[in-house]
Amino acid sequence: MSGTASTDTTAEVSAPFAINGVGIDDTFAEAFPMKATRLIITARDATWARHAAVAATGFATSVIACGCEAGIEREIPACETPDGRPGMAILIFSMSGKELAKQVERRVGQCVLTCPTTAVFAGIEEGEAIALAKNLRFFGDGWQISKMIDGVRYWRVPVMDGEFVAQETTAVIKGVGGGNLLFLARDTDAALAAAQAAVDAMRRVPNVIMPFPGGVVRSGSKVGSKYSALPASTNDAFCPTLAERSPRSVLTSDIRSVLEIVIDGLSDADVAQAMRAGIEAVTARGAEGGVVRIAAGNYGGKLGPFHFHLRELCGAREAS
Amino acid sequence: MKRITLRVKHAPLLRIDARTLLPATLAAVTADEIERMPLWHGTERIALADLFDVRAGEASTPADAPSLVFAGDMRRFDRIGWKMDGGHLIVEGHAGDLAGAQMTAGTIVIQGDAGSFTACQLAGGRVEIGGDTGDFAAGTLPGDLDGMRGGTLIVRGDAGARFGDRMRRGTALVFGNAGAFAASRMVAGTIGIAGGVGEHLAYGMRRGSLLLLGAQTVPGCRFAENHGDVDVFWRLLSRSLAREGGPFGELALASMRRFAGDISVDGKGEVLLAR
Repeated sequence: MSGTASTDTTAEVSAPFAINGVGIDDTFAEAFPMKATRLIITARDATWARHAAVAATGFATSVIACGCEAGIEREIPACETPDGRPGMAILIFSMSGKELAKQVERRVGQCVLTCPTTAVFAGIEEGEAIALAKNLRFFGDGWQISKMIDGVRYWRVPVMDGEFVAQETTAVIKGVGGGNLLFLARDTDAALAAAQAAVDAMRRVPNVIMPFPGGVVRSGSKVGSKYSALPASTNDAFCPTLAERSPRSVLTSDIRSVLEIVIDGLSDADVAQAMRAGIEAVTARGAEGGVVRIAAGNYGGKLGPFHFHLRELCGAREAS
Repeated sequence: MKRITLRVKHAPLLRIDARTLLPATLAAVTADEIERMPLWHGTERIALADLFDVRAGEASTPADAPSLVFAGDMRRFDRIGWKMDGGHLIVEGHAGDLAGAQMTAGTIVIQGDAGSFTACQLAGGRVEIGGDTGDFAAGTLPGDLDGMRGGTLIVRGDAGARFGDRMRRGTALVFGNAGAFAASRMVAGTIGIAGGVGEHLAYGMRRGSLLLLGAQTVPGCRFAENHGDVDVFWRLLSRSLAREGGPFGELALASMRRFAGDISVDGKGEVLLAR
């Protein structure tokens, strides 16, 4: 099971509403509560912090098979990090606090502890505490040192370039996973350009990540499959090669490529803000950008408590 | 919240145990009841009003924690702030022994000097001494295993011998000099001394960090210089201590040498020489 997004759609959609000639489907994205945490990874310079952040958020596109969804939230200047070194903020989301704790420990242990000069800190203060270095400290084989500074416990683990410093715990809060946008475009070039523009805009929004490669996913999925072993399968409603054959298809003949952006955020407001930024980035390009419609994936509203209606996100903007 | 001021009428002939005079305790009763509170003067039971003028007012902000001010020379009053668990306590003058001992929360500010055993077994909160303190500050009480185990102690003057003896957690800073056996038998925590130190520095140190700002030397037979990179730890520690100001104010800009030990007891502690 690889390359599967976490969205589905059952809605028959049409697009009488348009902004700058880009149709906005009368539909909504359906999102779910998740458990989330933020980690601050610092290093001697931004390059090594990024190496660690990229590794720690690797293979974390979808909870369907990765255990978590993770991504780089933003680069943090040295003046804002706990140790005054350049850093990266990463967000990690999972379906349960227990699974999130497991993922954090594995990823920090294998991808941050191993990376030269790095240190790791909790990026969220309030919330249920889960282990960050609490167990990883045992890598020190008895040579590890605990240090309380300003009421925060850190562990200093001897490693070959000096010592790995990590905060003992990080906090878990409730997040929102599965916000999404679908760009229905006339061809792949247009879909890619729109998706990239949207991702660029969304990355300027705090508290969100787009966990798929480059922030974009081409393999949107629906729940279930004709094969009983599979929990998800291709979302044939949005596959252009099935437009004339799948009874669920919502595509017209002028749509030949669809790309999706999945958004996880620390709150529903963050996800909504990111979706709004993505819609604005794409509609600003106009119909000549090649996007025919903007849609979203949902499960009929029966599964997820967070519904992001595209037209509400577009606010009071007039149709053109 | 209440702000209560106890002004010393005259220094008592004998030492007074002041452990009952806590901000929260006094805030819960009326001024008349405060004046009638019993104190022991040797074997003689006296009333608080025999030694103090009592004035009860309101704190500057309603949400503030209760505050208690001792005005005058309190050198003959021991156990000020003993086991205090909240509120503000200010001594406008000197204080006796055991000030802030076993305190768990709140703040104590002694504007003058304090006696021995200051902040002994401090577990939380903050104790500030404007002047000097005697021996065994931040240490352990006789018969106990652990010294200071949390909170912050700031001594703006000098400290006596055995500063931080058996200290286990927390931060204790001396802006001036410290006597012999500073950080002896230290188990963990952070001690910073800006001035000179006496002999037998960090004797039997097991873990923890001792930071020295003056041009000091470290006992070479018990501590080994280590050149490993501990940059992240130093950044965290120096930034934190720099917020205390005084001689530590520029610490974040300093570099340091690190010595590990006390090797004679297989210790994993460290002495940091800032420069």
